[in-house]
Amino acid sequence: MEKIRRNKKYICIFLFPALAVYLCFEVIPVIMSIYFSFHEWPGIQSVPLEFVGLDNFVNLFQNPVFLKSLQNVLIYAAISVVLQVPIGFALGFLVHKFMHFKRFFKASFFIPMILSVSAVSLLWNFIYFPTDKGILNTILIHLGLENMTQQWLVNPDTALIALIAVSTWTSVGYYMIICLAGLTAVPESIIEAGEIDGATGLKKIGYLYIPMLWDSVKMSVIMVITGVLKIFDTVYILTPSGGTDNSTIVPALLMYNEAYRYGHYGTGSAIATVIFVLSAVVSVASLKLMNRRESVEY
Amino acid sequence: MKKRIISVLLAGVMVCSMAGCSGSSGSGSDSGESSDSSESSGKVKITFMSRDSGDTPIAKVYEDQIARFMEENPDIEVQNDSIYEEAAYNNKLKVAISTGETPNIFYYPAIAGLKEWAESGVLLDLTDALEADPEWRDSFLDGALDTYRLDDYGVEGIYALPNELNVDAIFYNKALFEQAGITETPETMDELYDAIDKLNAAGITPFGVGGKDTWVMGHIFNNILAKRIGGDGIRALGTGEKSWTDSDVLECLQITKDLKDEKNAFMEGFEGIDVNTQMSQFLSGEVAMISHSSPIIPEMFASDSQILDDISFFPFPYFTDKEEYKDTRVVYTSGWMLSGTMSEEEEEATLKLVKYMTTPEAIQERMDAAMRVAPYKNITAPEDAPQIFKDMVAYTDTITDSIGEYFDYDTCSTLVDVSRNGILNMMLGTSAEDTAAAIQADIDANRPQ
Repeated sequence: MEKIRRNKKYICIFLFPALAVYLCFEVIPVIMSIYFSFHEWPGIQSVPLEFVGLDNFVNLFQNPVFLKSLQNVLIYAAISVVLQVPIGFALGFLVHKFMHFKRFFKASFFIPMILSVSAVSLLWNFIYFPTDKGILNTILIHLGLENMTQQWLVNPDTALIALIAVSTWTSVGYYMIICLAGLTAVPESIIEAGEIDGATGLKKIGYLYIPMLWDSVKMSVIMVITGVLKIFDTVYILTPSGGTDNSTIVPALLMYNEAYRYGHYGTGSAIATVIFVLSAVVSVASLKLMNRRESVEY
Repeated sequence: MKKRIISVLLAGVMVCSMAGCSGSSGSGSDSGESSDSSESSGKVKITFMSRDSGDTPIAKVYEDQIARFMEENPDIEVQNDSIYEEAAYNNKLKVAISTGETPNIFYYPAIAGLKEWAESGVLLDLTDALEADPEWRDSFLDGALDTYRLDDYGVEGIYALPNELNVDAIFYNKALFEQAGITETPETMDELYDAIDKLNAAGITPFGVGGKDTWVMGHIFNNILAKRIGGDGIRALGTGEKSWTDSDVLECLQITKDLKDEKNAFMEGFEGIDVNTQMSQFLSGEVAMISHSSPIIPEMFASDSQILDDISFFPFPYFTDKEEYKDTRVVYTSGWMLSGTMSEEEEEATLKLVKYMTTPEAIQERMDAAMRVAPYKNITAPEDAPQIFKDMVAYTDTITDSIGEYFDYDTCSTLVDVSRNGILNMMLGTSAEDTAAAIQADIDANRPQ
């Protein structure tokens, strides 16, 4: 066994399938997408590519709809990080403390994650239904808050936050599981020592658990950011046109429209490139920011 | 090769990200294995791609007709690649075209939008095939073939065969009209406004509108446009001879906006309701009218609605100050396009199939099974069809001046989304002037020169 592990030929053979899939479906499309972003092409095989230099990018950054989509997705990412990770980890701490029905709560909070986006979106469509038959509006009316009823997905002031709520509801279970997985590796002796030193309640979470789970927190934040920056499905199903006054338009939806609906493959590729660069920059920046706080070795 | 790789990979990425939202898609008898076997068996293989797939009656008829065609023509194999779900269909078609694998027969909802495909040889010019077979050519309704004549856009020839007609009308609930004291269906817009007032006074919502699906308001606007600037005006708008900021077009936007703001014609919150909810509201008797087209008839009769006998339709009313456009009717034509990159034997087999599918018997069979109005002569509604469908077929026969959707005549690919989103935003508060300016600005930026 040890001999096989040291043999580079075997290592290459076993790595090859995963590497091939990664290259074909991740690396090559990214490279080709960047290549295409410097060209214009109407999506017809017999029509040659036309090199347009940086024109697609210049046009993009002069397009108010694209700028609005960037603004929306950055707001979406910022709020999602603030909501999804803390709520997910709070649920993780809570479920970790439960003596009974632990499995039930774990499964309950995780179920939205395994539902298809279309099913989740349909469910939330009923919740956000714009008339007094909508679940949310009905609740508000019964609470005497009739003046707060809204066309949640139509009103530009509420549409984006309504979508963020859907994503948050869907994703918190996932971050709860990450938290629980991290918690199982935290040595009980350290917690007990902390308790003897006076760490209880929130202090215990802030000074003991969070430092020891810092790597999990970092990973979760990066996953939220990269997930949100390429978000498409929830937005497409709940607000297919990108919302009133482009209130919910995001770059991935714009990319889809440009490339597949309007036949502007160069512009679509340029948007894909911007999403890629933005994901990389925001992820690295977040990681650097979070790396200022060292994770605790145990 | 590079283009092929990127198209397939881009599609792969999109398909993965959309996997959850296209659950209703279904395909016909898509079989890669049969492709290999057909090549080895020396058969000519052709692909057929439509939006009719799954368990619908029309899909079943298509499958039966294709199966019969293959039985009668053992040297031809037809692969049915039909997909019901619109986004999945469009994605598959566009990837096929970008990789040079254009289906032999396919459907695409455009007229002027076909210009680029026609110019670059993606589509077959059908003029010669139609001239070579006058009997076949003359089986189409007079003028129907001209729908896909692209001469006005600088490409000579006919690039699709009209296959179905979607005739726009206002469908209404007779019982609710009676309840509101409306004794006759409105013929003019003033009469329609009166009917709206009476329905509102009786506490009945006049129009069901699924505004979230932006095409619904788009269709209402298109009818108003047809009745105020006529077919020639709409075509001129498409070719750029007219502008969206012209006073008559602006007026049409304002009339559309006033239906909500001044006439209170729609239910509160309609902007966030989808078309399925609109349909269920109409079929349960909650709203008195919907603006829709003829394919809604089979949909209604496939439902378990208890009020089907109360439903009828009337043509979109005209404006008394624009009587010259009284008979202009909005009719959306859907057509079949043929690949322009076929080999000679493929072209021969494809024309054979398309002629087989457009024989009077084949068209009648599809109409009988699925209540689709077709642009062919000597087709009659089946005896056992609901009265409303018979009325629709009879009404279609009376149409002499028809026009499609305004964006069908424009080569600007973004117009459909920008205008429909703009109209919905206008219903939510944007002024007609700002809406028109925004649409025109988009056209100026994106319409190919």
